[in-house]
Amino acid sequence: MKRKKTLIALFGLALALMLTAMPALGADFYLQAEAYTLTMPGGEVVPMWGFVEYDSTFTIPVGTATSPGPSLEVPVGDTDLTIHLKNELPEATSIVVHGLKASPAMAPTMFTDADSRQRVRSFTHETAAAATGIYAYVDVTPGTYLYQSGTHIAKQVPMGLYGVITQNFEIGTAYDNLATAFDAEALLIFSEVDPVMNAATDAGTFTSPVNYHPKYFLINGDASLTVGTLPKVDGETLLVRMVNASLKTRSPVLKDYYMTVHAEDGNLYPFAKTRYQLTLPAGKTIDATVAPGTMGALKIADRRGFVSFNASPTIGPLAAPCLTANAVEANSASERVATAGTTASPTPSLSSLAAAEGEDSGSMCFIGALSIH
Amino acid sequence: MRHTLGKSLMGVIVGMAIMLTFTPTAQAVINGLTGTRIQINGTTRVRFDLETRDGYISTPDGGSIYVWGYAPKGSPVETQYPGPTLLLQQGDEVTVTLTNALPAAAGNVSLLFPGHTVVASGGAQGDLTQEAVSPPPGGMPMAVTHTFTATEPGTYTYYSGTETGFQTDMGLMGAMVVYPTTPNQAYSHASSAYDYEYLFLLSEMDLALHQEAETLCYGQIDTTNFFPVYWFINGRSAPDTMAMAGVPWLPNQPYNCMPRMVPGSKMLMRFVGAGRDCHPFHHHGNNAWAIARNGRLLTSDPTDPTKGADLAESDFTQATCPGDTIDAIFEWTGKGLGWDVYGHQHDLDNDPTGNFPGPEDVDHNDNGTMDIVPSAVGEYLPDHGKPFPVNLPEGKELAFGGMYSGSPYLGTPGALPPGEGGMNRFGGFTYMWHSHNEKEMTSNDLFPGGMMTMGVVDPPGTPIPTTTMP
Repeated sequence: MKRKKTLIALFGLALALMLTAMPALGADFYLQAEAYTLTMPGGEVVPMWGFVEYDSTFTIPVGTATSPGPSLEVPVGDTDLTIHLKNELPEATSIVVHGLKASPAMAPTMFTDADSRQRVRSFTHETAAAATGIYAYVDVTPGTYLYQSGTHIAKQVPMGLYGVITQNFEIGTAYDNLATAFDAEALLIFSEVDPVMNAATDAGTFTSPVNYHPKYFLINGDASLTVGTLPKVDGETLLVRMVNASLKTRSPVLKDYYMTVHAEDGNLYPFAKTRYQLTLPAGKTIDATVAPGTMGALKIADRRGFVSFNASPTIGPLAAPCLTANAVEANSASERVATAGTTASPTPSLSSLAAAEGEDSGSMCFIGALSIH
Repeated sequence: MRHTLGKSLMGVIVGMAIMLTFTPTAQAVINGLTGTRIQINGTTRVRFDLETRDGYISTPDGGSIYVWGYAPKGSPVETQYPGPTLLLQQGDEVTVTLTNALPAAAGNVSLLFPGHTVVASGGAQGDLTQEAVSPPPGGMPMAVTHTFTATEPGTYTYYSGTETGFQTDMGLMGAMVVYPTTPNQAYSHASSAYDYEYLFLLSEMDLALHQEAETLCYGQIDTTNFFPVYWFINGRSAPDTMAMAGVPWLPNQPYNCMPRMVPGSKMLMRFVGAGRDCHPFHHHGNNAWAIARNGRLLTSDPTDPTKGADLAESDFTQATCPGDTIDAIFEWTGKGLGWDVYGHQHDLDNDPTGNFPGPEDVDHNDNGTMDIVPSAVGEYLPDHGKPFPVNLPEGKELAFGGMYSGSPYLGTPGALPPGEGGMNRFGGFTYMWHSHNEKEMTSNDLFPGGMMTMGVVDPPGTPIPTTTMP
């Protein structure tokens, strides 16, 4: 018995030596941060900062700059991740990944303010404009992570400097748990844009994010979407990775079905949760599967209703401005019901009573007068 | 403000109508609609006909706010805020029709029932579901029909899937409760057993949106400027939350929220996040066990029905976010107060010496025999007989509130000066239950108001209405 144990121990030691002797498995990504413009629904052209992926010599780009930036998938088994950052922005920037261990450890960049105080400007080392920097991570574990600028984050993150990193435990399994096996995976990234603040940053006149007020709400980078649509093949399990890169909490609700929620911030829950709704605060990632047996495309919409201010045909700039007094009368619900002769209401509606009393002034509009926003 | 004339008459008529529509749940603590129920081959088919209508609600600051609501079609109510609470039994085959009687410029409306696999037909195709279209002038309204099976018991919400941010703020949302076959349980497991149940549908309103819609200034509506100034429980702001359900002066807000219980009983609180903001609802007096979310027990294994709510969480604030539902069970015994809430030691002729209930201390009926006072039902026994920790000042040194019963003891109203008290006839304990985001305890900048009510612990034996199943 004792001998057997010794043999096992020796074998284990040999295996450990072999593993340490093997070269560390690592993934390298090459991102360039650059300014670009995004044409929003309605035609507004908004200055953005985003990332574009390059080859290892930073000569051939893969597509153009986007926000969110490219989604980086770390191959199964890789424990090291290195992001090479080329900075084509007009100022210093950096990359931090929430939940991953930086190596060397993150060293904040300080500056001396007007009152001679030492203050933090960047969570980690900066890459100066026109320079290239390296951001390396070790002990990478499977999960869904958000990467973003770690410099002047109140300004650079709303400009669009963020993206998603994913790693699976095995091909077709998200975590070290068979319950996270899937046939297909989808990513849903919520983000938002304040065109006024972005324009100020672009013009170099940004002073403070205190009046941050996003007007465009994006799903996977598209400000015209109000609903996230995910492909779902009948009988297959879909892994849905949800990430909130915006500053507002979102409440995604899956229509018609429940999700099995497995992980949060790249951490597997000890017990999965059964939910149709999630609370997704800023910076949060949540991984869920939708089981076989569901039919057709899956639809997920934010129950908080944050959509671009001009995304609707019936409210906002695409709708008619204030209607006239006559139109108000013609649109009175009670009168239409009476005309249609459908539900014979035994009592007049309050609005028609008021109209009879001459209280209604249909042309009255609250043009910004009550706007305390 | 507006529409004051004729409102009271209208209110009486509508209020009476609402009372009638509550049957057979006239005794219900959770008021709602049970629909038209028909048994066919052992299956219960339930039908609700809803119609979106516009109208006005009252707020306690004197406001009259233009809203949209889902109203029972054919009922005389102008509109309803929130929509009717749909009361179902597990296994019901449900049909909900929706017609649109809003002003034509309001556009389409719809209904989503998260957690349920819904087949919707009719109307127009929208981004998320079929939408009910405003009928053409002189034309008949065309209904959207939704069918689903209420497969699992629980607390659910429904709302408009069209311009959800705007239309839910306007009022197009409501709650749905599916009861299991076992009575007095929220789910099919004993860990969800309760004695009393109450709904806490939490919502808020951005007044500007309502004024823009009222004046048909749809072009000015910008939901990204969301800035609520009113907050509601079950469609009412405090103190209206504490008025009776169906009172005639709130014709379009039929639901109240007056949670009452007795010591040792279990109160099920059904929270529904029906607004656009998360609301941290705080129940003073004790923690509660959150046993379910999204209509599913918090369990370590959903496939094992014996597990029950083995992952229940004990909280004193329920973080109720949009679209979410939370079921929590609240219990109160007086544990932790360190004194006998019933005043069992209280013998005016013979002050306790601290070793009560020894027979040397109490002679309640003054017959010369010292009494051992039995404990009350639901009493926290380790505190039995422990004296009230301070000497009460004389009455002339006290200021009285309407809820003070005249004594600090549960179920023992005491003498009060003329004109004082009177709102606590059973001598219960009252706790302010409210949003822990305390700005939300206002009504358009007036405090107190908004998302607040009182939780009442009544003495044992107090008659408290309980729910009748659909």
